[in-house]
Amino acid sequence: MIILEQIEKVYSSLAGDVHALKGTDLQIQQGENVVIVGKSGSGKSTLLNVISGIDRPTSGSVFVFGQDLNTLKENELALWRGRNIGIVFQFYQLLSTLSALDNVLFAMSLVNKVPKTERKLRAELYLEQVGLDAKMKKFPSELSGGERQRVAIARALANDPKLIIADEPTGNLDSKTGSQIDELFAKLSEQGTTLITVTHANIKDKYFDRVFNIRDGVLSDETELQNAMAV
Amino acid sequence: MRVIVNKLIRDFWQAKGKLVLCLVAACLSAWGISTMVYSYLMAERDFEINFATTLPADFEILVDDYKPGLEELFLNAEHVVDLERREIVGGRVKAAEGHWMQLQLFAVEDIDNMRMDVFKVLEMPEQKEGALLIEVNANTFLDDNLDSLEIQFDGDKSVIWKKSGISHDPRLAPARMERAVYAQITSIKMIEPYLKPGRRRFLVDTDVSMDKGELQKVSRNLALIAESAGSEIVYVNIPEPGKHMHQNIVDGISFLQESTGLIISGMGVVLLSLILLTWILPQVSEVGVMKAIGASTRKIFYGYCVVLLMIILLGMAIGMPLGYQTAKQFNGIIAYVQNFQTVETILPVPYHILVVLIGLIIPFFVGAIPLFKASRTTVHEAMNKTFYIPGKAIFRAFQNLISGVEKRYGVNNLFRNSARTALIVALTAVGIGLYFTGANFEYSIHSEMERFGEETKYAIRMRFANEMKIKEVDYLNDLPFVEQIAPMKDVRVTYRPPNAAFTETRVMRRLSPDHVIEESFVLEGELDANCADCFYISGEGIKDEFRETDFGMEVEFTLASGEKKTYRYAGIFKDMAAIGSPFFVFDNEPDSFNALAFMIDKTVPSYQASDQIDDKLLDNGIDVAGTMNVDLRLASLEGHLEPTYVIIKSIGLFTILIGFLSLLIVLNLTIQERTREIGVLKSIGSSFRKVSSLFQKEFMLVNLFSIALGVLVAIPLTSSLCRVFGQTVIYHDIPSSIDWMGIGLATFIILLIQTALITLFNRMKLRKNARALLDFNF
Repeated sequence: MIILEQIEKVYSSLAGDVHALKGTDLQIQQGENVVIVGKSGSGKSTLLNVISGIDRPTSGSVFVFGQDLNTLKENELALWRGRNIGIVFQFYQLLSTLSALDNVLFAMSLVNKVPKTERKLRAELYLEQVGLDAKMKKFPSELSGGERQRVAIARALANDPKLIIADEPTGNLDSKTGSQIDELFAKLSEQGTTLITVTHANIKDKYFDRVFNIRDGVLSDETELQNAMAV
Repeated sequence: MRVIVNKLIRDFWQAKGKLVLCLVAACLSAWGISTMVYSYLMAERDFEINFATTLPADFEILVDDYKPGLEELFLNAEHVVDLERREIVGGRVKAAEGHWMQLQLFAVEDIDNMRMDVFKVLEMPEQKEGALLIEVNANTFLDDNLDSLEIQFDGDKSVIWKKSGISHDPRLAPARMERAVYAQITSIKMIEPYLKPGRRRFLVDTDVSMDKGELQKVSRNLALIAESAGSEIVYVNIPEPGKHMHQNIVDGISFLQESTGLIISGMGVVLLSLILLTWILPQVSEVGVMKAIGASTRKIFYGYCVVLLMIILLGMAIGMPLGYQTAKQFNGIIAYVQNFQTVETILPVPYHILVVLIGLIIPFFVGAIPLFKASRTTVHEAMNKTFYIPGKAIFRAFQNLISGVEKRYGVNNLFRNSARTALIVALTAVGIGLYFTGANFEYSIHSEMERFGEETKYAIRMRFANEMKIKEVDYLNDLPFVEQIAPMKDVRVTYRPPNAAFTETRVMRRLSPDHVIEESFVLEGELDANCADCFYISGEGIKDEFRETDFGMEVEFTLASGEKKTYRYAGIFKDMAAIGSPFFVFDNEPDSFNALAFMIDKTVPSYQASDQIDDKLLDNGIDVAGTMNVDLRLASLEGHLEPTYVIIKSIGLFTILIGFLSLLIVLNLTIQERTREIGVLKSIGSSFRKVSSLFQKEFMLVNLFSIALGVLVAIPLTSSLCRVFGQTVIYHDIPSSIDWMGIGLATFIILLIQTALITLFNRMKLRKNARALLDFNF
């Protein structure tokens, strides 16, 4: 379960303080498939940063699967994140000097959660799951955008995370590849993985358990509205 | 373009750290270039002022059976322009610590009318006639408080002479290096009693310039003239025209000096280029923006060039004076080796303009390369920065060779910018290679000296003016440390080297058959002490004279007594303590000698033993003409070779230091390039420590590779140095030894320092960059 209580996040800059999150409360159940929709600058990235522990809130508490993130030190937080959260970035963010297989293996090696002897087998399995069994030895520069995103998903799965955070996972993909990725996420959700997707795109043709909208740092649950629109 | 220049200057000003680093690199570059050029110019100037103004004689001759009027005959000979009598007498002088030191005393006929081999008089008493002038650098050996010196000429009773002035002759070897005292005396009459009767030494000036062959012809003609007048020229010395006697060592040091400049300037230029890269990297997208809004490649490139020029000029303002000072220091070493006095006058303006031009052109062209590349970036490239993946074949080959994904990540990253990796490896390898070369060279010299000290049977050699019977010095056997006394006879011999046009006169040392020579000292041929008609060359100093001579070939020697003897060329052996006697034969009668070799208890220092033997001989009324002990000889050799390895080691250390700096710059560049990647690493579970260790491994790999390369470079370099300096200074190759222990220790220290630096740097940079995660746009 993910619980955010009264999260405030203020960035200071020369132009003055920016209130990125304003008293945000959020609860997401285990296995839920959630989407957060918002325009650029609305605070959705900050929200994801806070949930994943990449950034700390100015005030408020973050509990992810019972762990109070505020109590963890920077290094502990990194390790905890690697073991519990899989992140899929908008621009894939693969390590360009490693092959597809090595990108997945590397994520395992950093966290040491998966036993050494099983790593290669599991990495190959994840890559097979995302349809890249024939391109495991290819480097990111040799893969298409969709393939890179699939490697990124396989990497996010590497340490068998309870939560996957996806930032505009289909934002840079053509519609066909985008649909493939959506199917993959749906499958993951069915398997019980908690999914949080962030997008500013139209989501009316996609299914999510819950839909949140974020505007000027204020989060609102619009699941019912969305359902009504879908009907 | 002005708008672009203003923007770039503002950018640079904002990136203050990089601006400082760029200036440091520009300074280094200017420093290196100016050191190199100034050193060369200063050396040329100093040589001209110190050496050329001494008006070196074209050659010197020794005449036996001198007949009055011979000078006139010589002066009338073809090509002879002038003739001046100058005498040399060898002896000993009591030094400040009470030890005897070798003395070489030069006598001039008319101090106010020196026409050749002119020396400077730095202090002269009112009474010029008979003044004893001590060579300025030798004065340190003598007791300042004493007005007079105890001097003993070859085998005679010692005399007390007044020390009356100071002189400086740049043609002489530096006294401190040779461990000998040189002096001039303004009256030949004073030393006449100690000269061989009927012998005269003349300096000859000719109208033949810079041609040793022609000078040999002139000397040959003089030999015929002398013969027709009933005299004989027994010795001719024709130095290399226009060259100092230590030219070989000086050439070696000059080479090092210019190499230093080259390395520093190379490093400076590489550094400048690297730092410019770090500056440009974040600007690449801005280049795209500038182009998108209308700036041309040329305008952008020119803009960058203006900024580069400003940086180089600023660097020169600091680097040039530094280079001038460094060149002066270097020149001081060269001056020391040449016994020159450094010239304090400032170099003429055109020389400085030359330095400015060279200092501008080299870094400008090298620094402009990354700027040119950046300026050429297309709008599309600038907006879509992707990492470069190198050639597939090598890259893929490495994937299969390296096990472990983290190691693969480290190695693959080195391929991201292979040129930059290669530069860093080259820079560090050069530094490490040079340092190890210097260290190995020092180790080789010391090993050889130690070996010699341990293996040489005779730690002390003494010369006497007259021939004696061994029974006359029987009492020396009573000295507790004396284990064996070997009688020897030094005789002057004249011979014609095979295929040579002229005869040479040198010293032959005649040893008794029971004289012990270590087998390991035999360099070529076979040692047979029972072969009475075999001759051996000691050291390889005159090996060239016999280069076309096979072992077994006969050479006729004319002994000083006039007796002619034929010996067979049988071999070459090394004897670091044998100076001035290049030939050895084993035909001495066992009971007579004019020189003695002492085998002593190794626990007694040879200089102490030498003093005690000397005292004992004096007590018994025997004056020693000259002494050589192993300690003194090795100290003198050390003095000759030390500047070389100290310079090499210093350059090496300096290069390693710059290598460290470059490494940190590249690390900074890498971190900057990979900020987002570090963010990714952290977001997928990598702690700061882990990221730091990944970088650490990557750079450790570079270091290990550089060290391995450096060691590989050092081995042949050491071997060459040992050969060249061995042949020049001690007349045989110094066996090249590798100081593995030292290398291991130095490697450990280098790695330790680098690891500490990288860790510290990572701590500063990576911790700061933790915030980079926030830059991710989810």
